Amino acid sequence: MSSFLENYANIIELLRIAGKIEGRKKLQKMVYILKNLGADFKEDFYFHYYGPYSDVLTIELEELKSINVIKEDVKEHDNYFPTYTYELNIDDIGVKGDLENYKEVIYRLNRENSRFLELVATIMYFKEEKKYVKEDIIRKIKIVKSDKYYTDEEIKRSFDFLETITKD
Amino acid sequence: MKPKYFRDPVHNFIVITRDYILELIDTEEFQRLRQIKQLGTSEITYYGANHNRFSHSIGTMYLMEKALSQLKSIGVSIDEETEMTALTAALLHDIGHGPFSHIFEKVIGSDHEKWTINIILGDTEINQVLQDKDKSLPQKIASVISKEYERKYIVYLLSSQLDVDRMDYLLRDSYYVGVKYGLFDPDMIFKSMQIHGESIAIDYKGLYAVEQYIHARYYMYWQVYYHKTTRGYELLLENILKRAKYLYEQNRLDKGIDTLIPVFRKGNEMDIKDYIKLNDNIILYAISLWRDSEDKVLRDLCNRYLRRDLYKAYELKEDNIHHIGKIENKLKEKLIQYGFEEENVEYYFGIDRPSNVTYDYYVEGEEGEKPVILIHKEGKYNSITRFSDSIKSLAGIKKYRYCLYFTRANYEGEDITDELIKIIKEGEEGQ
Repeated sequence: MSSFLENYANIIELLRIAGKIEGRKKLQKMVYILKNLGADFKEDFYFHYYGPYSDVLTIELEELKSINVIKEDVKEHDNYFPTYTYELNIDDIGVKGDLENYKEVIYRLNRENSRFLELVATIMYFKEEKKYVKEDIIRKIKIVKSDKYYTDEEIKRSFDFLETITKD
Repeated sequence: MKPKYFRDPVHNFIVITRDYILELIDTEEFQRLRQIKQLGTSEITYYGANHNRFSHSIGTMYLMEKALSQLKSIGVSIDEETEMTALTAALLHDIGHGPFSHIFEKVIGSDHEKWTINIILGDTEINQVLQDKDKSLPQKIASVISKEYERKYIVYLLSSQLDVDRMDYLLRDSYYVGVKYGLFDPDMIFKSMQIHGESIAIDYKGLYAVEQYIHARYYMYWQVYYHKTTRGYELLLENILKRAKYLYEQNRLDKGIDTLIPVFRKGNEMDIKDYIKLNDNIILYAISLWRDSEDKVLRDLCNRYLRRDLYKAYELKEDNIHHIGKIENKLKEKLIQYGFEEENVEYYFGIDRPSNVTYDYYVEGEEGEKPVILIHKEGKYNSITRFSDSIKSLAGIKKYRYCLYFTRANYEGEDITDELIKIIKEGEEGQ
């Protein structure tokens, strides 16, 4: 079934490298950041209330689950919203993605939490797609992420983080 | 100005009292929406579905006005500038749609939201009307469209899981398609609308109206938007455009029309003036020319399109989806045996997987993944799934459909459907 799975090659590769990704939102932001760094992901993202988001990616995860390629572990929480953790179900399924150059970035991204990656992805969106300058990005973050109460330190750390992964 | 009355089949009278709204409607770019069908190829399945984006855009603005009027009636202070931004953003939210929207986007790699912003900010009649009214208006509307506007409740009203855009198209599409399950009670939803923080919430009294709206979305998704016949027709159209683009690139497109040249040559980088010349009729005219093309594949596909000679749709059983790659290969081999050239066989079959179409029914994910519909009851606010078992179960439904599409006949017109189904069935059994 390799040709059909080619559609998902880099999602599979991402999970192969990362091992386990805790949180669908986190996975979303990781893919967005990697795609912007130049990795070959076909999924379209659009700017949503919580930063760049791809409906297609969410459905693709469901598809991969339905064909038993990935495993989804749902953790229910008292606050009602569950967390979804993803990992590969089968190690070798005959498709090879192309993320060799992004290994270090993937490890680094996977060590961060989804709140931080949401901020990084949003800054990246404003910087790369909207071409805003730093001052405008900070101003926009305060508008679009007002409910998240990101501190100045978090914003600074995100800019620094982005700079280092861009260099990598 | 003297009020203008529009007779709308869904909302009855829509009264326009603002001169700049009328001026926007009269622009070349807005009038173009008359030539772009709201539901693209759906009319192949439901022949009533040939309404256009022009009426939907006016309807969306009308519902935005209703929502703002409700908020004002409960004491929310909305100044003229905010109202102007909200109404014009609602009116113009679809202005960047190309012909047969999503299919066209797929082929040229564009995105209608970007074109909407280009048209609002670029050198267009629309931009001129907006600037004449207020120099900063184009930028504000663009920020609503790109979800960066500071008054977030306006963004939420135009684009969220409960927005005036969807409310209008569900009602309008149901009306024209001729089905009743897309109907709900918009006035009850508006009467229950309030602001919570920077977002919109619905008072508990409107819970059932919102439930009905969410059910309408669900039914319309499966019965209309994702109808398997329509999806097959979309695939045929997509293949026609792909083939024409390929031939253009090879310098072999023998019957071209000038209007489509920038599409093939520059794709998403084309000039705005060229983009607004595009509409559904241009594509249909091209297809009627290409039916006589020298190219066998293009000619064949166009003839099939015009004669409604659709691909056969075969829905794979859920338990057999994991065999899909193998089935695809067998089908391909068989088609080649039936005379389709290896390099052309891709135009004669395809797989429609769920991620090819965006979900249009209510989903919730993790916290902060997608904004939920908030319900207000006795001072507390929470997701609708906390209050409604039916929505909780609907939001959790994981229903997927994988459909294989393939030609029913070879180049000579011989029916090969049964043979191909046999191959698929064998594949499904893992043979």
